Amino acid sequence: MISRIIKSVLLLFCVIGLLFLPMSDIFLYNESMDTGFKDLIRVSSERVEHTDYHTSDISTFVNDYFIFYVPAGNSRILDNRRTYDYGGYSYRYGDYIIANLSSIQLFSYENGAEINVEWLNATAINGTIFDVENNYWIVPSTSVIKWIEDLPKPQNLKRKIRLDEYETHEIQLNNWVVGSDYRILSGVVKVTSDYPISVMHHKQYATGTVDEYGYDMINYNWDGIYSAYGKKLFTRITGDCWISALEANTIINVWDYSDKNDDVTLNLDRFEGWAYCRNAIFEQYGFDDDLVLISADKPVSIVAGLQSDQCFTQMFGKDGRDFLFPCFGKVLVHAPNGASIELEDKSGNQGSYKGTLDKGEMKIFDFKVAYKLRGYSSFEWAQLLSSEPVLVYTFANNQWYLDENAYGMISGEEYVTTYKKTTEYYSHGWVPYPADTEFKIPIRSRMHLTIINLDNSGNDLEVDFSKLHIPYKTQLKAHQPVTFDFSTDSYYSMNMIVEDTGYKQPPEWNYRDPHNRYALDHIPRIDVHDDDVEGFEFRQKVSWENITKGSTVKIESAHPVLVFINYDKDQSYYPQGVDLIPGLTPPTRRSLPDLPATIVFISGIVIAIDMVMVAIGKRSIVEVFGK
Amino acid sequence: MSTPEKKVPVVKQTPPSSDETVAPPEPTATEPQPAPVPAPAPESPTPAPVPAVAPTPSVAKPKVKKPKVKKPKVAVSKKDTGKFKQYRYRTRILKGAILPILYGVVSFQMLNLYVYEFPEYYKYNIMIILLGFLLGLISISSLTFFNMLRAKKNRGNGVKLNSVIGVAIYIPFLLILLTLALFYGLALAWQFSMGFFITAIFPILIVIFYELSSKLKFFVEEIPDQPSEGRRLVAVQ
Repeated sequence: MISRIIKSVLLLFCVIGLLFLPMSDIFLYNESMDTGFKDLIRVSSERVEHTDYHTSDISTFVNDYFIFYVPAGNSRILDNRRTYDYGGYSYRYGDYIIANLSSIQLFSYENGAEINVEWLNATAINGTIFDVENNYWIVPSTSVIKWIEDLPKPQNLKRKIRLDEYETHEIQLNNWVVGSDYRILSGVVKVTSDYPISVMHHKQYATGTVDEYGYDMINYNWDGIYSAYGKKLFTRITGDCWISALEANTIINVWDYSDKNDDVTLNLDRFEGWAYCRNAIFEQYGFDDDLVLISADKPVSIVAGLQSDQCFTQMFGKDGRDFLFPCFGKVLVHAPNGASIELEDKSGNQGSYKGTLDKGEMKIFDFKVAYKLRGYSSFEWAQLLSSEPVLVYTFANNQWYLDENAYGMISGEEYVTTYKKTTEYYSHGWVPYPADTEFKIPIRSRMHLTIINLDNSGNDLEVDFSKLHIPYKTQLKAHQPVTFDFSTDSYYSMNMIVEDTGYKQPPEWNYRDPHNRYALDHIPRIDVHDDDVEGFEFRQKVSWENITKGSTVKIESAHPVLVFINYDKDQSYYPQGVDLIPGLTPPTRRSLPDLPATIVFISGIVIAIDMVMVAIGKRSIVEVFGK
Repeated sequence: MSTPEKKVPVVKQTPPSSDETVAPPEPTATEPQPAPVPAPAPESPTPAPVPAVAPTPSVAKPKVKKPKVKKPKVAVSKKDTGKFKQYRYRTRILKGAILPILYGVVSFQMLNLYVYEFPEYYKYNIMIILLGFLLGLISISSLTFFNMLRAKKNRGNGVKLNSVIGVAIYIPFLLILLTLALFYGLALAWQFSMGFFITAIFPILIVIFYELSSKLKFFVEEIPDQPSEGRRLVAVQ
């Protein structure tokens, strides 16, 4: 009788294990469990408020393997009549270009993280004079951009950084000398770590702590927002932060690691959000350029940075279906597989919509967000429910500007992130992942679009701009980027051209009058033959409407690529943009397995016992109900 | 789907279940061995029951019911000290393979989805799957095969099925599984186990083909209430 009861329990256990198998995340546990055990021991002796600090699982934004493209941020002339004073002497330079002012910031979660930063390919320029006042290197106009492999003695292409728990390290690119005063300008960088980390790229670095809230300097240096999704994020927040719970009873801890004056613990319900941003009426000023750890017991959607009138970012939701996010002006929804959506504008209802999107369709919804001056964050909560995973962006394209020339401008950067399924038989379990072989990118303003080959070998690529329908076909070499410049002829005198940053064709500076701006001379160009003019070829001109009214770029590649949207052309002097880099290691659990995975694992052990015992003639547990 | 086992002559008076029958006990090793008596061929002494022929409307023949010939009970051992039950080995193997094959098939289906739909997203280790597959193939399949081979050679008494061999097979499996889970990740352990489980199909094939080729049927004999007292595999004609 006892034997039969035991067998019944074992059989029940195995059946439950089989049922859990398709929906368990057992295949995501690609890391050893020893970190989970260590944390279990550590947490048992820690104070209650610290027990949140357990092992960091590998997710899209907390990862151990990153490859990404660093654009030539701010590499433009500032003022060709500027005088540079140094030591009482006055130097005058006709034209000068500043080196890349952007920086890469690394955030560590665990002790002893060994981080390797390596340039897979890069361009460099010889900045020789340091501008003390503005903290950047000045590049003579006679400088030539070189590939680092063409430098006489390329050196210092790798860095090793060791970080402890909740430490950060910022790498300023214009201080990365790769030989003979040549400094990194742009390129593809690989970051690996033995423990999960977060990586952030921002176009300008802050010059110091800003005590005065809402002061423009902080905006000057750190305008731009970024977004993330997960249960844990250690990051830097300049001012604003929005956290959205997408599951019921989500407990969130926010730890201010800089000055501890912004700690908070939240218990949010499903579709409940927390806005910690500038609001002078409530005497609320958000974070003051703090290092912040956000940890939650269930995945949350996070938007942070400093909201501006030109911001742009992609939003992440649970399974790509449930979203709650701050809308800064407009919402763009792209349904790659078609979807029925229900979008709710929680303030005013102007942007609400309920309907169906066809496969591949994009729609833009104007939330008519009220502008609240500089000391306030201008946003409205948006809630979106979708039947299928959709890609969601929000942007504020200068809709409050009176100058019509500036209307529609966007400034920001983003790695396009699609959703990947992590379960087979159930509708849940979609996570954001950046690498893919097919993309359809919406264009809303003048932009640089960079595609990065992630493969170690050649990769066939085809790009088609919906307004031209001239497929651009090329083969990218290992980790080679290619940048497309979508601009208009009317405002910046630039055409739609293609920058192919092939190893053997270093780009050159091309002076573009009358606006006294430099840009990279892009090779090769997309030329369109005009039949009306015999024997004459000219570049296709793209109008402002062409690049703002529903135009898209379709990207197809043989192997996975990354797509980097860089809306920096509208802010040539002070480009803005902060982005949290998505990692490439698929989601992996490093902690102890959760209940479904544990049941699946133990049921496997039981089934194996049964299998062996049957081979030696014993009765299977399946026969427990027989005589 | 299980294969129905055929009844063999029983000593016990209680009606046996569909897949089991009762046979005299095996002489223990300490007892003096009786002269080997050929194991009874379960069906051979019993003529197969004549199936009832349904009358066809075209041919109106009076239904002749043949008297059912009762199969004489045959004792296989001179010493009738206990009651052994016989179970068809093939059915046991078949039922025992249900769970591992289900586990393996669902796992491979999941793997197939992730590998072919998201090749850049999901990685797996084919060597680990093969390791599990080889372990299952070599241990379980060969254990089944050699048990039957020995039972065939020693047709009179059958062969004793020893649990120690099962434990000896299980320990390496468990060691590899736990090592992978603890030090390399649960996903690898899962991949190892799916390779192991899918080999549950081979014992079924081995039993079926071996029975067909040798024209024997294999039965597990055990005392119902004390299965651990002695379990043996016998081959009958």
